[in-house]
Amino acid sequence: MTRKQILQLVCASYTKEKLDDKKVTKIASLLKRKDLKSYVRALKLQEKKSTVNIALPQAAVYNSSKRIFFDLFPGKSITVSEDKLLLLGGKIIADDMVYDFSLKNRLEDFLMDLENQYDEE
Amino acid sequence: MKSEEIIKKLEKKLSGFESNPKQQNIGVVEKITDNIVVASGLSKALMGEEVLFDDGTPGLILNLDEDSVSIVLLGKSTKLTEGDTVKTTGKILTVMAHEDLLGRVINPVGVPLDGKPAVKKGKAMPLEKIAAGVIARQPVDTPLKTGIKAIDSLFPIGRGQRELIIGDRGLGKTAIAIDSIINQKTNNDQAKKGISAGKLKKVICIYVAIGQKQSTVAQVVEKLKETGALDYTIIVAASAADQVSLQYLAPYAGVAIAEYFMEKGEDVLIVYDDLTKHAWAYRQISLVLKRPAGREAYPGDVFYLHSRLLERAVRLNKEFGGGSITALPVIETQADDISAYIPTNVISITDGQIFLKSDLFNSGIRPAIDVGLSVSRVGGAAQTGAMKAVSGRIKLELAQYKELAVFAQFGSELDAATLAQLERGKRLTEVLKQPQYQPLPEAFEILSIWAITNGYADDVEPSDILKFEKEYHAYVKTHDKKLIETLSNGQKPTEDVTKALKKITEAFKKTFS
Repeated sequence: MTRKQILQLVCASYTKEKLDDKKVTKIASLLKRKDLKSYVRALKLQEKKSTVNIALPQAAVYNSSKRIFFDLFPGKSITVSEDKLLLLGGKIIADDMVYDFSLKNRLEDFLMDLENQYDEE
Repeated sequence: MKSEEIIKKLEKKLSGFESNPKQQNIGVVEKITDNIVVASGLSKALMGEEVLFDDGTPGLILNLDEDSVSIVLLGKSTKLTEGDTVKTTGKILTVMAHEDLLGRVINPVGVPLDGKPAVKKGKAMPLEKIAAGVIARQPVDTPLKTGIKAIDSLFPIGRGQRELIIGDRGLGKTAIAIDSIINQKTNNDQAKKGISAGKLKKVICIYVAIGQKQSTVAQVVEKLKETGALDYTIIVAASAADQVSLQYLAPYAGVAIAEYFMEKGEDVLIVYDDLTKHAWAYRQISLVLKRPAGREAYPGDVFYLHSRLLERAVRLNKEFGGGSITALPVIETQADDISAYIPTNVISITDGQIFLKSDLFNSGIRPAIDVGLSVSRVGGAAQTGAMKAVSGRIKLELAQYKELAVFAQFGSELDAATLAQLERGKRLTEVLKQPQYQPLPEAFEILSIWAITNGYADDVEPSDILKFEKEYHAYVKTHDKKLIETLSNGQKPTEDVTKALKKITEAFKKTFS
């Protein structure tokens, strides 16, 4: 099967922007082993594209700012995880982009900057 | 230091610190084969961008596909597994260049291989860069003396030239390159004292070892150290044991460092030893990347691989600093075949070639330079007046000798003039022989060639020519130092100089037995 056909199958696997178990099972049963591999990979990529992961030092903070995230990423499913090491702020992973607003990241940047200055001296 | 001082210092450093929310493009490792990683994601990645894996191993993006990228690893990583993340850095590959690198041995990404601390200061020079344009260039007009009689007289090299050294394995290609590096010591010492002939600038040397045995690289380092040449030399090494990616990047790292010095107006000599192995490394990468294979399984852009590298050898004009990069690429042939794919490619890119032949080497002619097939296309303009004056005859006489030697093989009777030419040719061939690691100053090269071409050694047995030469040099050195100084200044010999040459040579002949 061509790549274009695989992508069409991936689109057909969704019902109202949600992955349809029945459709996926049906398509998977009809595909050859090689095509199935490509189909699963394409499906995974599609899922990744439609999911946004948010890491926060305290998961409870999410509830107060839910609205902002829905506005920022319309039509995408949002998952929240707790990462205490971030200290403050948060980290958003949308598809293959990472936006790091955490205090941990800022401190790491500062450390690297100091190290670079030390090397130059 | 008091705590207050520490805080003040930190505050001072913090004042220039800017931190914005970090935006990173990430990918996931899908497949790892032969040091090539295929990763999904990385949709914002750029061609030739540096990436970082979870374990800190750097990589270089070489292929951009629709939903994956192919990355070549730039370090040894045993921990990397499928599912690991990889992030873009937004930087193209660079190497730190600084004067502190002189005397050091580094790999193509700047990691020291000599056990000394890494040089972190300096300027980050991009490995891939478009060569200087036509406006910035000027013709080659300054000699780069190799100290090898056969080269300096017959195929002179100018600063900014690209002269290929080509031949089978074990014929002394590296030896010529190393001799050229060692010979810069005299020039650099004179430049330091301000007594260099023609006000020649000092030359910084870079030796790039690509796919060489580590023992060979160690030998080169030792030899350079022994002769004091390591002080002005940088060695960039990607040995046979290193990743193929490093072997591919080594010459680009070398020339990037060379450009740092050239931008400062300095003259640089860079040796690529050798580009055959570089082409092999690139072929290996291309095949693993599944790029279409062409002739001898090399990818289609193998010509561009070397042309973009060698185009970076340049002589800049004064407006652009006046620096230069002279390149001595080395190519290894199989059974003296210079018509193979890579040799013909590099021959067409360079400004001449020094062809070493195995039958000459086996018959004891060392350096085994084939005078007929070797050429220097631009170096003649850079030859000093003195050398030009004496070397004009040597080319002609050698060519006549080669022609006559073929006829003489038939054993027919020869007239006196032909016999004399043959005898002269034998002596010329002898005088062009030179032991390894013993480059000669130009004045002594001129002395040797002048004496032979003017018939002062016609009565000396060819087997005694080297002895004649050695004693002649010693005699002139002790009896007429001024003549050596005059010949060193590069000026075309005046009548007085020629008279002095005749006088001292005749005087020496009386003492030579």
